[in-house]
Amino acid sequence: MVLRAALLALTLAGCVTTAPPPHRIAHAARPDARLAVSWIGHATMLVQIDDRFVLTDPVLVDTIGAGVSHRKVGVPIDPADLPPLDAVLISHMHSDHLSLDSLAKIEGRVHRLYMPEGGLVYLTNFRFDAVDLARWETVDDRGMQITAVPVQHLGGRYTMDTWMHAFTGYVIRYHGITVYFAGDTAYDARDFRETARRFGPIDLALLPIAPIHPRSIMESIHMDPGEALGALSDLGARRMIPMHFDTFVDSFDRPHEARDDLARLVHARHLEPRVTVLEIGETAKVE
Amino acid sequence: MRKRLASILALLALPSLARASAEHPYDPHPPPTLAWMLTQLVPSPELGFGAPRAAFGVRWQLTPILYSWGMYRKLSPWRTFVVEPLTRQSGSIEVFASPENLAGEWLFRTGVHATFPLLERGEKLALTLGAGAVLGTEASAEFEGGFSILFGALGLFVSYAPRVTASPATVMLRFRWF
Repeated sequence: MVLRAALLALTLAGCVTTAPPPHRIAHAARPDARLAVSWIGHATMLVQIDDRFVLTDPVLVDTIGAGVSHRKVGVPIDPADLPPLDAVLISHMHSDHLSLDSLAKIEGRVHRLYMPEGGLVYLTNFRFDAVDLARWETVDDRGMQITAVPVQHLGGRYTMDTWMHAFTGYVIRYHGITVYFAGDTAYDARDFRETARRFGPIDLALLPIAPIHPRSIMESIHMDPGEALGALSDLGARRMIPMHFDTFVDSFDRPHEARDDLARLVHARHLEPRVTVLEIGETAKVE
Repeated sequence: MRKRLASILALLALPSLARASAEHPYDPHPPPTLAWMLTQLVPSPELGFGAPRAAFGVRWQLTPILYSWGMYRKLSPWRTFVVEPLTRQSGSIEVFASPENLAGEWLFRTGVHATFPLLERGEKLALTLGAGAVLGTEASAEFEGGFSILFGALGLFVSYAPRVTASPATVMLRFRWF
């Protein structure tokens, strides 16, 4: 515990260096895929549904939180190589999900940015259009439907803004394909089952699996790998890609603990056909 | 006393007047919560430099009104008293009111501050410049400037009031949360 706390402190002090990513994304678009996902790290996923591109919680810089927290693994794509983004989804206001510097890097290629209700106050005056969505609110954006769906997390950015409840998950629907993006969430079967009831069948769920420890604190705001598999079951999603692990030091977790726990549980439950674990910079074509 | 209390309550109610937003129905002005009020009671320490020696002091900071040009355009740019860090740090101009105790003497500073974002939209680093007046046993014009980091929570500010003979120059370690 002491060693983990020391590692966390060193990271927050900027003493952890950023390693190069294991893969680099040179060509983000996959013309051969109806549904493809590239993991850029943490909760940043580039989702391609046919000709549409959606980027979730973009963190495209090496430091977040006013320069306090450093990535363990570098950004695997030059922001200039990203395709035109039909939608950027912000799940909540924490620095590892809303990075203003990252938004500045893609400002010219974003059609519209979506935030949870009340989130616009955490945004500066970028050129792109931004809208906030209330829970269960759907926007039809040139044939692609984006809906804010309930999750369990925290909504502020500065610890004291406890009145703010700007956090959400999203469901994206386009050309008959449905993708669920959880952002950060604790396990809440009721939320997941209601989302499944309204939007099922879900083709792909992007689910966080960390941070895990200290569990007494994390369990009310973050799922662990076992709970993420529970969410997969509740959502009834055909496939799952895990996220929100091994990018920042944000907990007392051992390196790769969440990934290893997930692999063990997936094997024990025979879920290999449904769960695809990506490395940072890797792209999966979802069949 | 009742009039003073009513005046203070009226000022704290001003945020509701700043909610107007033509384009967006959900545009909440941050509320003056108990936590906010308690943090405003925390003073920033400062050192005054002049004859015959340096003096220690403390300063509080209030923002009766602020206009932000950095925040997202669909929202009201006006804030009264309670100001989110990004609203200030991303580019703003504000009227400030600062009671201060320097070497045992009570002073009151007021004037205008402008804050300019330098790094990460001001969350990582911002520059603030200002001018106003110091009122106490001596009155003087004053000029202020400083840098702030960590969402504006921590800053180093220098003030110069040429006609305050005891401590014309002060250096303040500014703590500010909303």
